Amino acid sequence: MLRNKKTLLTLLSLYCSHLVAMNMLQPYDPFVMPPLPTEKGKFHVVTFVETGVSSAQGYDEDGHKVDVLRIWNNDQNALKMLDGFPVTSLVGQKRLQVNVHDDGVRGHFLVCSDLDLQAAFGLAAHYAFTKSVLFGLYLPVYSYKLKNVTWNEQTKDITFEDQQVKQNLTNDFFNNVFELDECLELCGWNRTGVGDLTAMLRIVTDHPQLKPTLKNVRLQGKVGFSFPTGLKEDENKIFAFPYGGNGAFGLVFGGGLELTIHNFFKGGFDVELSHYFDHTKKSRIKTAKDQTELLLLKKLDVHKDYGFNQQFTLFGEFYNFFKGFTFKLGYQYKKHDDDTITFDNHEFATDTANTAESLKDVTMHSFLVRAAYDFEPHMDYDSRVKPYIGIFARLPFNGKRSAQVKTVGVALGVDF
Amino acid sequence: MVLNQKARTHRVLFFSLLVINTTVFGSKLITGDDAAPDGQTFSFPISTHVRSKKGNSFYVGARTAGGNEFSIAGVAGDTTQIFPRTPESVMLNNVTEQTNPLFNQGIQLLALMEPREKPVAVTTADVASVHVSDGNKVFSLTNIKDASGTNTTSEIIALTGAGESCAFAAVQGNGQVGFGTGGSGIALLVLTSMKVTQEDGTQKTQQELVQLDYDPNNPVMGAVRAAPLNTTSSFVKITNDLASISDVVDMHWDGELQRLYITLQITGGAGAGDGGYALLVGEVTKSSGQITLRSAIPATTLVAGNNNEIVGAIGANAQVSLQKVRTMKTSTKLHYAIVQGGNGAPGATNRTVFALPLVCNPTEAAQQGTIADKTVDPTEDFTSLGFFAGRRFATAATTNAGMTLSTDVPAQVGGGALAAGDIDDIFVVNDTVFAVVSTAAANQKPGIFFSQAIFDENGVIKNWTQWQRTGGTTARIFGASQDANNTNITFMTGADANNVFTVKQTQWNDGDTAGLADLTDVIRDALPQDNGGAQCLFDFKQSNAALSDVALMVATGNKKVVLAETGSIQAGTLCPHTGDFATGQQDFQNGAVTTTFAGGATPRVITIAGGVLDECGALTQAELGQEGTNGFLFIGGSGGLAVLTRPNGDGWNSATGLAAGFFGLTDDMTFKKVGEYTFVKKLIHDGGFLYVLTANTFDRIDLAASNFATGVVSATTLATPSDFEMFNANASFADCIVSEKLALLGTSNMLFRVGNGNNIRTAANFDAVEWQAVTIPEGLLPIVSMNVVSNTGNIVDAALNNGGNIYVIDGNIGKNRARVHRFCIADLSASQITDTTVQHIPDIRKQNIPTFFGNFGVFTPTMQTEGTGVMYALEQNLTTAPCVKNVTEFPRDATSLAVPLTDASCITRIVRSNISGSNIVAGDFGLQINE
Repeated sequence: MLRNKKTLLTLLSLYCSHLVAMNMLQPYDPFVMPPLPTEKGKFHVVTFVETGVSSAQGYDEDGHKVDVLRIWNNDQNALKMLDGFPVTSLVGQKRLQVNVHDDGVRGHFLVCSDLDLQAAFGLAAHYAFTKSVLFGLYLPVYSYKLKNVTWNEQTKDITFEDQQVKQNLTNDFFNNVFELDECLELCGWNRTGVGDLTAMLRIVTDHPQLKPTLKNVRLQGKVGFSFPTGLKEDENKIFAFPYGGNGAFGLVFGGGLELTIHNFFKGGFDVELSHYFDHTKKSRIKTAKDQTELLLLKKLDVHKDYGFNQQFTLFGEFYNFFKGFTFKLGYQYKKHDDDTITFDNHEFATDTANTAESLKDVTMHSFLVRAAYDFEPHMDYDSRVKPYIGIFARLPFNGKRSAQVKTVGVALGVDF
Repeated sequence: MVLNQKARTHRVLFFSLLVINTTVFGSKLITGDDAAPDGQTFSFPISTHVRSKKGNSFYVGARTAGGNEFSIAGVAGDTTQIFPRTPESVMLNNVTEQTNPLFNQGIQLLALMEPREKPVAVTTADVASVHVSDGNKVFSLTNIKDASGTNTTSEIIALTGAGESCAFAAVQGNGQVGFGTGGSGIALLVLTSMKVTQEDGTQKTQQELVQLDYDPNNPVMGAVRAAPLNTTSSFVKITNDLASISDVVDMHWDGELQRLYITLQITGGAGAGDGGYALLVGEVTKSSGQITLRSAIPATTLVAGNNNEIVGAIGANAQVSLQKVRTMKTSTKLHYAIVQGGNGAPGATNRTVFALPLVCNPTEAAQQGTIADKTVDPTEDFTSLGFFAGRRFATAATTNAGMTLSTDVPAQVGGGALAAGDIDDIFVVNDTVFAVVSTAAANQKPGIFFSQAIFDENGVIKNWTQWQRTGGTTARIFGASQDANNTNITFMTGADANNVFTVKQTQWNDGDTAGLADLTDVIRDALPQDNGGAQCLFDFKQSNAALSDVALMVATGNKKVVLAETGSIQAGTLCPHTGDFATGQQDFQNGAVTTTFAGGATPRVITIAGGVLDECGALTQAELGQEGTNGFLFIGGSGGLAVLTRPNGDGWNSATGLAAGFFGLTDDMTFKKVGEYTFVKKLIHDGGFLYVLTANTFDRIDLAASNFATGVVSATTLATPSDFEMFNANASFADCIVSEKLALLGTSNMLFRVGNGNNIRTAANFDAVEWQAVTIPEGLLPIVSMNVVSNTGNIVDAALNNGGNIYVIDGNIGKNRARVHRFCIADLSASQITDTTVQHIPDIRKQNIPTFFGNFGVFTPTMQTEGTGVMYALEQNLTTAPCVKNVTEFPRDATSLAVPLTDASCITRIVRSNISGSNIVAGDFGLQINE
């Protein structure tokens, strides 16, 4: 039995998920996580299932609600797509073929789409080495679908330049792009895959208080590593974001405070910080300052230094107020700092590439709701299995350069 | 035909309102003293004037007493006000609160000490004194001595500043009534600094204006002598004394050559071997202040009786009459003397301006600044690190073969005499000479005219553009200056020389109500911004073979073309049209003209839309063609090429039309499609052929062999991108130039020319042209556009009339950069194309590494140069608004011109109306005009 448990933990230890532009489910999210076991030798396994209740909502750099494909740029610029290439290249000569200036709409597309979270699955497993020290492994699986992608051309039809752009570029845009880059797909996609695995060591200490109101203070600390096992970004598809660190190892650490007031109310906060280690991967880069993120024709091996991830969660909880019933409300703020890329290529400028909006900071704000029932009050004290069931909802309401989905989910847990 | 009566009425009403409010548009009135009546700058007349070296400041002097503190006034930069420079109370000769000797005086002569721009003046009330005004300080020197050194001059007749603290005065001899006799000479005045001990024993530095003796090495006790200059002077006469020197003397100081230039009007002795020099070079020894005057040429350069050596002559009673002298340092770094006048009597020479190369050889003081040998190529200097330090003529002319003659094309500024009339004044801005005319010749109009230098492969001037009107005015002009940075022209105008009360300055706006403002309005109505505006603008001179005594401007828009008659011969005088353009305007639909025009004063504007023009889409090209007795209008756009013809394929009768009031257009003319072209990028008519350039083809259409009635088009394809093996699938053509046998083809990869010995007019196909790549030193490869500077101003004359220059922009919009390169084109009228037909003008920064003329630092497809600088347009880039810039000398920063481009997106053309002289910027906003 113990060996089986260890095998399971070993398998689970391959996955962890971090993502910066999407509010993807984290199996170790402190809000949705059931109470951790505090008994030495206990195992605790939780399964999460989540789905989106609507298509993702995008937020641009100013926090305005936009289509998810406009979180970085309000429109996509086909003229600028051709900028920055050597003049003798196929792309460079194409730019000379449409040797016209950008009047703000010429060669521009407004792109619309629906990004759906079809399902997310998460598995979390803990083992309590001692009453206060736990080891956890976390694995997510995601299934997202980008659909109904439409490219609405904005070019007017009144000037020679307008018609030149239409004739040579935008009238048959997909084919023209294909001629310049056979790999780049401008349509939707459906991608299912696992995220990164996180292995985490947690320390949980309770400090009972002999006070009329404050009954307990729980302190938590955590540190762990994420492993690059998640589905990577597909640079040949638009907005095909990675289901993890995009191939990078990561470090997670943090802590929290939980206060028990009277016997039914808990409140507290959790701080989680993480950082991906720099790594090199083939990516699309900007070759000109005003290029837009979905129309980048140049792929290079790019060394990426990730920005710091911060997550702050505040919560209040009516705890076992009716038998094992718990109701919890929370607010969560996530921030990802600017990324920086470098590459070894003399034809293109790193400074230019680093003006990409997708490399800039990301924020997300969400309300969190959870209702759960812990069957422990109905179980014998020495019962080997103690199940737990919870439903939760994550309700994003603001952000910057992010795409967020309103979700509902179910968490099933068991201690044994 | 649709007569848009309502719109016309509105325009006429609007025009009338604009006439009432004359301060809104066009050249702006510079305001001066408070007593000046409306519409005038001053309440008193002005006469003298002087411009700063860079042209950004312009000073005028009162003609008579009455100007008070405005006796001398100066205007600087882009402004609306002229500032007084002669306050009533000043520190005079270091004594405070003294009455300013310049206050309320008439100013006889005016000059500047630069760069601090201290006016130097002689008043009408005291013609023997000189005053230097430096803010609230005035330094006066009375009783200027003549060449005797002890006697006071009877009159100072010419004055020029020389650097920050010197001035030269041409003085008549004491008791003399004219220059060139007795003690006449050149006096050197210096603003010196000296330390004086004050009452408290401390010392302070103060300045004083003094006259220096011209020969301090051989002083005469008690005498301060002007350098003698009279009919007996050895550096003026040849063999025997001159018969006379008139009192028309002009002087100019060249700070770089450190030489004073003096022009005279001389008559030689009666002997066949007698003669004289009319251009003198003055040297001032820095250490001693000694003045040495020399003739600009030796006698060995003159041939008796030839009378064509411009600045000197030998022969009985030979006359050489020079009125003005200025110097020019070209953009190729060579020095020239620009003189008005020449061999002959003053009345016969005051419409000619000549350019003569000058020696720059500081180690040979006697040769420095003299006329250079035209047959010796210039010398290039480099620093020890190999950087370009300069270019100069190092060898003085010593023989007639090396002497620049009036018959030499390179010497003839403006290509010959200025037909407009006698030249009142000249000034030089970079590569361009300006001439001011107050009194027009018969059948001419006065105004401001310019001529631009054209260079050869050594950077030497080989030709000049013909005189062209500028400033957008036909007013009587008595003095002018162009600010090289902002290109605005400041000018003095009035009823006659005694009644000049007004100073104006051109500015960018919708145009002058007394100029082209109504044309702006008409075009904006016809080609509204929400339909793309003026997608291009073309100016056709009255000399175009398809026109009869009218000048035509064609504005093209989306499926519509506007024809505007911008000038015509009236009572024998070529007159630019101004004021009302709207009256009688006719608007045609369905691509057809439905009126037979009888000719006359109206209409001045017609518009044609619809029909085949709808198929042609956005129109960006227009060209006039002439074949046999037919005149044609070709229009090209995104959807094709069309020609305006009658049902039988004829155009208008080019022998009598297109004439005033669009005489020649008949009611059966329609636009018909020509060939199957798309995205027409250029149309050039030359030698009976229409050359058509699109992104993907370069064709030659034989007009004689084509029948537009039947749709038979005799076209020869001369190149397609796929013909060039090294091109990839996206290669395209950008621009072309055609002149005589030569064609230049700008592509997205490089620049090509017609191969040696071949002829673009007769080549049967791509192979027969044998396109040759033109090396562009340090080029960016893709050609963006080309501009021609030719003698006539016509593109097709680039290889005619002694050849022209081509300014080639290469650049990459994808990397936001562009450069301009200069090439000289040989005259092919009697020769074949060879390796020397297209040669790089020697722009260089590092030894043995020829390079571009200038780097814009950004991408621009649109430029124009008239020699004073390079004007270029930056179009809208996302939210960055378009603008027009001007750079006077690369690599200095460009000046943004004050062209109102609110809500504008694109600038399609910068062009000057040849007939009005107005600079025009066209774009989606319509037109903006500098006049």
